[in-house]
Amino acid sequence: MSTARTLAALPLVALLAALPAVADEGDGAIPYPEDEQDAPAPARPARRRVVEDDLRQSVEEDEERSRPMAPLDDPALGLAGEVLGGIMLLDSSRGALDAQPAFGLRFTWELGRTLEDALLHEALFLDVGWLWSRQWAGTSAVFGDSSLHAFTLAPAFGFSLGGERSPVVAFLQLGGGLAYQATRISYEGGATDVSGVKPLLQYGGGLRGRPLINENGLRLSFRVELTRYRRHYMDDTFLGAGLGLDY
Amino acid sequence: MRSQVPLPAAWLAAALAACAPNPSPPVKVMALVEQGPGALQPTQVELELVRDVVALAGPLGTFLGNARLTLDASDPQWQQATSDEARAAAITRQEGNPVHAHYIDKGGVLYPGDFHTWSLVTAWHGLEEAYRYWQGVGVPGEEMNGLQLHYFPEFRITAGSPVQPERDNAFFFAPLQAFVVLPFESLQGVPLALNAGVLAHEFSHRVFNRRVYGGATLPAPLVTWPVGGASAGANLLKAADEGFADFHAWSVTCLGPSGCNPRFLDPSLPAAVAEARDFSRADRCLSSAQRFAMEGEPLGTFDGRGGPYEVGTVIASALFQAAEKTAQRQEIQRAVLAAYANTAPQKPGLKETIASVANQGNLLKLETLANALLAQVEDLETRKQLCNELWGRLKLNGRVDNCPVASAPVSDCKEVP
Repeated sequence: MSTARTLAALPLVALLAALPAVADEGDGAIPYPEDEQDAPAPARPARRRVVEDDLRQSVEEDEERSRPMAPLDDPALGLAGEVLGGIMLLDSSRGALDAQPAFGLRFTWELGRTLEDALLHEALFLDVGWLWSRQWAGTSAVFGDSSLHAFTLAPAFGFSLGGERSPVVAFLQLGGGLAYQATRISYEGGATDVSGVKPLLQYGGGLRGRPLINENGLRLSFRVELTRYRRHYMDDTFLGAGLGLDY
Repeated sequence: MRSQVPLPAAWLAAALAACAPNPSPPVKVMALVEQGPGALQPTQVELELVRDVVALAGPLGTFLGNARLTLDASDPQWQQATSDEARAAAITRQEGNPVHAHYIDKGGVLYPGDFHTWSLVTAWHGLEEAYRYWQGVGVPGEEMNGLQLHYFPEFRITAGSPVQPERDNAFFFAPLQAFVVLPFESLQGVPLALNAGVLAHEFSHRVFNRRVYGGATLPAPLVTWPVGGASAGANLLKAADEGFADFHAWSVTCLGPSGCNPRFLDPSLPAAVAEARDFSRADRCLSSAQRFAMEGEPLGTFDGRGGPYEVGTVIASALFQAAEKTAQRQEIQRAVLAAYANTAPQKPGLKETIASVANQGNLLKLETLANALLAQVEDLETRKQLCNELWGRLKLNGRVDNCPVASAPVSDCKEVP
């Protein structure tokens, strides 16, 4: 809404800038260059100054009004929570991709709401996520069972789709975090646990939707995404979706 | 001075710059090593022949994953291939990728982070053990460098009709001069890649191929001799290759922490198969039927029903018993290697013998093989014992030329039906 008001004010500003030129052109003979230095600046008629001042004041008031209106237009907190699910294409050590189911949670803070910039206000959000996948391989006698946890903090930028008021945005994301991995290798007569924490880079994109589901500002939150996780030097790919609520 | 780089940016930079571990050899890694018969234990080992511990590549060779290999006898590309390269191209439907081992660094020791990394690292270690064994026996490192191992490829052997990919096997594949470790399915024991004895057995096939056949992708005796019906010479070569590989594999196990283990197949193969391949049994002996089959069957038939393993087990048994009874294991190891190829006129090896019989493969008999082996043994007592074992177990037709006069066939074996 605030963006709409700002945009609505733009023609007024343009009009304001054009008015003096129109007035000058219709206000007597154009002076020769040599006369310009000596000639006193033509006094603008008082009526035009009043109009001009009224317009400027109108624009300033409009901007002033629009600034605090944004949170009032959408009083939601800008917080969302989603459950994630999908397929993790794990970078398998055997030189192939190992497709495994993956699940997780994600909390989103629409960070842009704290900013006055109209563009960032709607576009910027920050995800805190946890994604889990598991990898099992081996025989009955010797097998490995690995759990992979990705903890990430990732800002994202959304591009409105279908107009300013569309509840769906396409987003790009880049962030990082930590990968915790725990592996148990089992063999006849025993088992050995190995675990470790590794740096994690997250990047990707997808579609994010927030359709309004009631008048109190509660929204459905969903995503379809393709996200890559660079787990130290291993590259995993998540194809998945999220579903939750946004307020 | 306080850093001006914000924390998230520092994390991103760190993550972007995250490189794979690249320690210089010897690389300390954990592998699943046999500490007793069939008892695997995570054990710290040092890999010396690796340069890239993630891709598992180095002087020893390279490991590739995700390849697609099809040997299709009806494929025109295969039929028209006249060079090793062309044959390899016909087989290789998908090259595969370098493996990508995943480690967790614990104080300078790399711990495998998943099952396949445990498997890959252990396989690499097993091949290094075999490499060191052969170096000790007398094969120069340069001759063994540059191996290629296809890990879990999609592998098919067909004659045009669609077939399911092969499973549950590990072998040296001469047409590609590469090792192949197939995915497991029905074999649910110790995976073949984790069995150092199995890897040593396959490594021995490579040495045999290089020494006896000159590294041929399609060894001439196996291609030209089997023409029309019986192929005794080719069958014998296949059997000898299997028997020698078992003997060398046992020898490699002697270098490991679990000590000599002739039943190294037990943890990986079904009990009946492992039992049939047990060459340490004192009563292991060639039956008349087995000899008859070897001398009378076409290679395809003999090979297809496991004939090379049956006869090979008896050959390995003779070598094993001689080594145990004389305590001259290393002498016999060296003699077997020398029997592969020896240009000394009085001690021709198999390579020279094959050349001498030219296209008459049927001239290559068990007695020829025994003579080639015995000729390489310097120590008289060891030669006599080896002669006794070969003579008695393989049912040789009398004393062969290189048997000492005092030799006599062992009589403690019984025919296995």
